[in-house]
Amino acid sequence: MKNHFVLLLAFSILTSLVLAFIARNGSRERLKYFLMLFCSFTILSIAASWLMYLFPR
Amino acid sequence: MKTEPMPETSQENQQAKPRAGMGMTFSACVAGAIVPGLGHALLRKWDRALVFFGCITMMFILGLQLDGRIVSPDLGSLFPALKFMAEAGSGLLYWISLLQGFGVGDPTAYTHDYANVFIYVAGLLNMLVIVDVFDIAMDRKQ
Repeated sequence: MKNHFVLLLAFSILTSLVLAFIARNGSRERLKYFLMLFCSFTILSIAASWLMYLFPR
Repeated sequence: MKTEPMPETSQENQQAKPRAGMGMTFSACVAGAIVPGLGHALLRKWDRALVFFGCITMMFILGLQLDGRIVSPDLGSLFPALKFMAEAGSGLLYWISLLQGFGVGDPTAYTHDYANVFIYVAGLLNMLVIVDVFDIAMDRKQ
């Protein structure tokens, strides 16, 4: 569990699930919104981490 | 030409009369602030109640398990006050952890920063959930 990528996935799943239930009604709409949020969290985090890798301290 | 008084629109009626009643609206918001998801349960939104309780509680407990720190109430300076407000948004979870001495936190732990984010976000999400309870009780959304 002490792996940053696993924690990123856990964070993305839990947060996306709550936001999908707040923002959308209906199972289909929620699923679409959940997947969109989950992919955004995950992909943008990895992209940001590679950007930081290119500019070390 | 004779003009008739404008009838009240349905939106104005909705704003004037909350679907759940003022007492129920207040109770649901307070219940949601104490236990994540309880406000939705009072309004019989069982699916939302279950998801909010499960996700927010799990995030908070994960934060504690991963060496996150529960900050004590401190409104003296800006950042500790913001941390306190974010964590206290979880309601009873925060106060039980604080009073029981959980969440001492280990700044040298590999997951300390991540764990703190889990605890902050659990509280902040619960604040959004309380706004959602209010909107449902006021009949602004289903």
